[in-house]
Amino acid sequence: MRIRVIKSNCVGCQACQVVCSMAHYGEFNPKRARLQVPFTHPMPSAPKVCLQCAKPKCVDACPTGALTKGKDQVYLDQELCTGCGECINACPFDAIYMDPVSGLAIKCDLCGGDPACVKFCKRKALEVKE
Amino acid sequence: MKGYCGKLLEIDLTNETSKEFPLEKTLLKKFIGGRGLGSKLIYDLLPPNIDPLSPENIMLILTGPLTGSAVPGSGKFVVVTKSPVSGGFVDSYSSGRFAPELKFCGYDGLMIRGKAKEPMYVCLRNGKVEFMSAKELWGKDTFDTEEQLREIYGPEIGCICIGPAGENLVKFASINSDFYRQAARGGVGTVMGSKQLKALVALGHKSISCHDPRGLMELLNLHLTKLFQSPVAQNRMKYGTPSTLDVTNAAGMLPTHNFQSGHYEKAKDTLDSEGVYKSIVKSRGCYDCQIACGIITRAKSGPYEGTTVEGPEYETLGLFGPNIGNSYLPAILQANILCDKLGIDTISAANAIAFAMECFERGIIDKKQTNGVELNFGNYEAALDLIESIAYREGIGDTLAGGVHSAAKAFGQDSEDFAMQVKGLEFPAYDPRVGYGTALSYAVSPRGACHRRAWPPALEVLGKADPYSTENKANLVKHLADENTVFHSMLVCDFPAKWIPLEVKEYAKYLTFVTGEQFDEDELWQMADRVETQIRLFNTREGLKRQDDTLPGRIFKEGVVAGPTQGRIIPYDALSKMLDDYYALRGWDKEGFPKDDTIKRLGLTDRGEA
Repeated sequence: MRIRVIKSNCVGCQACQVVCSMAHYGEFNPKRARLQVPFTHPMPSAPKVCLQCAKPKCVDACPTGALTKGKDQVYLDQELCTGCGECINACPFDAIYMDPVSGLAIKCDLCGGDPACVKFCKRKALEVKE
Repeated sequence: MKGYCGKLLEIDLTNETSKEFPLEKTLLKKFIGGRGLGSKLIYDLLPPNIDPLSPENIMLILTGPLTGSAVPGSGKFVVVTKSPVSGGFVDSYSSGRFAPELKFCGYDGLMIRGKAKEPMYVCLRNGKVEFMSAKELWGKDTFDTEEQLREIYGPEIGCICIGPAGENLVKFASINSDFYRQAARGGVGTVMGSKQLKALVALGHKSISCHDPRGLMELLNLHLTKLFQSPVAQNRMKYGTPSTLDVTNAAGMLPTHNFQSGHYEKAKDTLDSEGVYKSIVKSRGCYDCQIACGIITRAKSGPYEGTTVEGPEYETLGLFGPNIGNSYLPAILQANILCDKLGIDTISAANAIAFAMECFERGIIDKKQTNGVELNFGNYEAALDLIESIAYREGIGDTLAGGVHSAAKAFGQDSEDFAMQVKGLEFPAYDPRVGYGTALSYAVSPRGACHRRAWPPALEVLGKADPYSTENKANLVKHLADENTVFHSMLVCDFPAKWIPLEVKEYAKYLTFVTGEQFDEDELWQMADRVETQIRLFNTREGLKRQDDTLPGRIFKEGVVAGPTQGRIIPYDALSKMLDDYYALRGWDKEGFPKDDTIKRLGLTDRGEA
């Protein structure tokens, strides 16, 4: 299971980031979001979000075992994360991030199966792909 | 209170120092933020009668309690200062990442004083304030400036800057943000230029907390669903604001040939919604706005092939289109991006050019002044050249750079009658002869001719009010203006609110969810009334009077040349009657000065007493 981005529907507004931070921390802070919209112009960019890879490079790169490959998604155990950033260097899709507040890695956890960003994006630029 | 940072950052450019400026809860409850807070602070902090382009002027850049939250259109900031155009209060808005970044840096806004010794930019990053030399940026256009700053500090920064027009103190210089968005009206970029402040950068990691996130998100989801079902919103999503041209052309208020006419035959399939639609390549949303009324257009052929811009917005389209006698859309795209890069207000620039064209056709100016150019309506190449001449103050551009009011003084020969401005600020793209309320709204708008304070055509054109009657018009204008003051104080874009549509009471709920303080609708309406009188106190202190609440001669004397409003004027007596009514409703005397008991009733005080 992963979040699929439909680029043609996206207007680059970052509402997904805003609601992601609210869903995870109860406050607004798009830099703590688990998906990020890069700033580009004149054309806006769509968000980059974890693809829940079948052969995740981030899992291979993680020196502490904080990242693991589950049945259908990649899990991050914050307790084991040291914030070394190796996963961020390893991800070919720029889709795993450093939380500027905790200094630890953050990634899309699919909100336990019902992602807040997908529900919030009325532009239908995000969808859940089983 | 949640939602606020509770402080501004006070920046002294002269001494290169900064300190926190606390905002008391009682002040915030009374004035909310944005326009409201700005009206109080500028009145209290600015000494009377200073030159707007002197170091003594203060530039406030403010957000509001809803800025950076998930409420749609919450990515806005306002620049409040003493206007070099009107000599009175100006508040000019833009959107972009800069607004939420200010709050992520821990500030509700900035208070900028003094003047840098040499070109400077200021960078706020993670609690640090750095005063940086902008010697290498000075002279660069806004795009080059922003590119360079994003290269240094990262693509995700919030950034605002001025272009060459602001440096050269063009009276209608803009402040640019995220390349294509401008706080452009009333000379706010001119004030920034006078301070030798090229740019501001903000990047912060702080969060914005709110009192009742669950309540907020529930209400928000309900409103977003309604928003996406709204026919107006759907129209804006497809066409952007250019679809307004269909309405204004049909109603006879589309400015044509410097507001001589209100209807433009050639707009069909060229500049109307379907005409512009052919050039749209993508929509682009402001921060946290899924509607995305911003359109990206591209010239697909011709001399401007490849020109790509976020725009044109309706005002730019109408004023660089019919108002200069031009139906060639790619030239409008080119004008749009030129103004953005040079840092000029498209509304005022296009008015200045249309004014010069009319002066040329009437023989008030000739080829000696235009450097040999046949400056007739429709000559869009000359118009594009003039944009640059204005920004760099070359030739006739130097005269036009002062705006149409001052250009009319220079050109003489009664050209003042068709210098389309109020209080020095040029007309937006609606002919006020479409209705008495529209005329009143231009006349009483505190920053000068403006469609963003109250927009009576919504009622006068769409049949809910008799356009050519004075009856109830003061009430209508007051109501619309107060409604916008609520939105512009919170500070959110008023578009989603109007498209759903939502009333002030719904926004009172948002305010309560975010701040945890009880706000009811009545309090917000009273706040808006208070703010309007606060601004009036500022303007009257700076010398503006009843005779400044007026319109150019053309509107009183010359009938609209063609179209549905043909022959229409606004009788002077009608405006005068509506002014009496409006002042009475506000609790101002016949000359427009707020009465003592009004000041007391609204809980306002004299300067210096917080």
